[in-house]
Amino acid sequence: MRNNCTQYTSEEISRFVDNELDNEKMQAVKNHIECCPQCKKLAENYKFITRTINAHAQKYSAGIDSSRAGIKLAKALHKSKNKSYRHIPGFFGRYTYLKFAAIVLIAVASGFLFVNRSVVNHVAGPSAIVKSVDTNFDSVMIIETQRQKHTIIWFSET
Amino acid sequence: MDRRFTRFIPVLAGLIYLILLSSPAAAARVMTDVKIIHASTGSSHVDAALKNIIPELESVFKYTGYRLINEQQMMLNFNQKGRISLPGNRMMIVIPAAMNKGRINYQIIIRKNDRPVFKTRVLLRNNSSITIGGPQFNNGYLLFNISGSVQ
Repeated sequence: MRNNCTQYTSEEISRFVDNELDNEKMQAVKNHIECCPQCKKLAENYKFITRTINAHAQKYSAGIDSSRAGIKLAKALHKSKNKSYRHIPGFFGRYTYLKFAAIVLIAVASGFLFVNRSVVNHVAGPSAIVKSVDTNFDSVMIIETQRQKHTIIWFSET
Repeated sequence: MDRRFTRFIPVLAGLIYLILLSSPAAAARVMTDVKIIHASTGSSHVDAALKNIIPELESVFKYTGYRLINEQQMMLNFNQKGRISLPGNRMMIVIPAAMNKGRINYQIIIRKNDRPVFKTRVLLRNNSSITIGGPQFNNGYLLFNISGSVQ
C-alpha cells in the first residue's frame, strides 16, 4: 500500500499496527496518526487485514485436534523413515552401487584366497611326485608309505 | 565423496593387498629344510627331532636306529641353488624351480667326489617332505629328508 505522507513510510505504519516499534516510536507514530488522515486510513487498512487473517486462522485451527494431528504427523514421519533406507548409517546411503561393487570385490578376492589356500593345504596324492630320476646306479626304488603317502626314493650305490 | 565411503577405501585396499601378499603366486621364497639321517641296525636310538618322519620310515625299512647327523634350513628364492655338505665327500644341491598347483617343483642333485651321481626332479607338496636314501655310511645308510614350504 502506498502512503503519500512523507513523515512515515507504509512499512513503519505496518510495524506500528503489529506493535513491532520501540515505545518511543510507537508513541510518535500514534500521535502522528491522530492528526494525519492518510496515515490513519493506512493504519486502519492494515488493522483490517490483520483482523481478517486472524479470524480465518482461528476458524480453521478450531477444527483441528492438536493431539491427533501430532500422532498422525509422528506416524507419517516413521513411515517415511521406514520406506527409505538412506537414513541407515554406514553402508546404505550415497554411492550405494560403489559399496556393493566393493563388497562383490571382497567376496571374489576372498574366494580366490580360499581356493588358493585349499589347493595349497589340501593337495591330494603322495607327498612328492617323482618326475624324473637320473643316476648311474642300477637299482632305484620309489616307495610311497601307506599311512601318510610319504614318498621315498632309494638308490643303491653298489 | 561420501566420508564413510572414503574411509572404506583404505580398508578395501589393505584387504586386497593382504590377499595378494598371502597368495602363493606372490610368494618369492621357499623354506627348504634338509635333515641328514643315519639309519642302522646296530643301534635302537631314535632322535626325538625325527619323531614325525620315523613312523613312515619304520613302515618300510628294517632299521632300528635313526640318528640325526645334521640339519640345514635354507630360505631360497625360486631357481636359487641351495648347497648342503653330506658325509662321505658328498654334496647335495636343491633348487626350487617353480610352484604349481600346491606343489613345489624341486630339482635335487647329489654329487660325490665332484661328480653328479644322482639327479631327480620332484613335485613336492607344499609343507611336506620327501626322503632320498641309499648311500652307505658307517655301517649303515644315509637318508636325506627334504621338506619345502612356500613362505
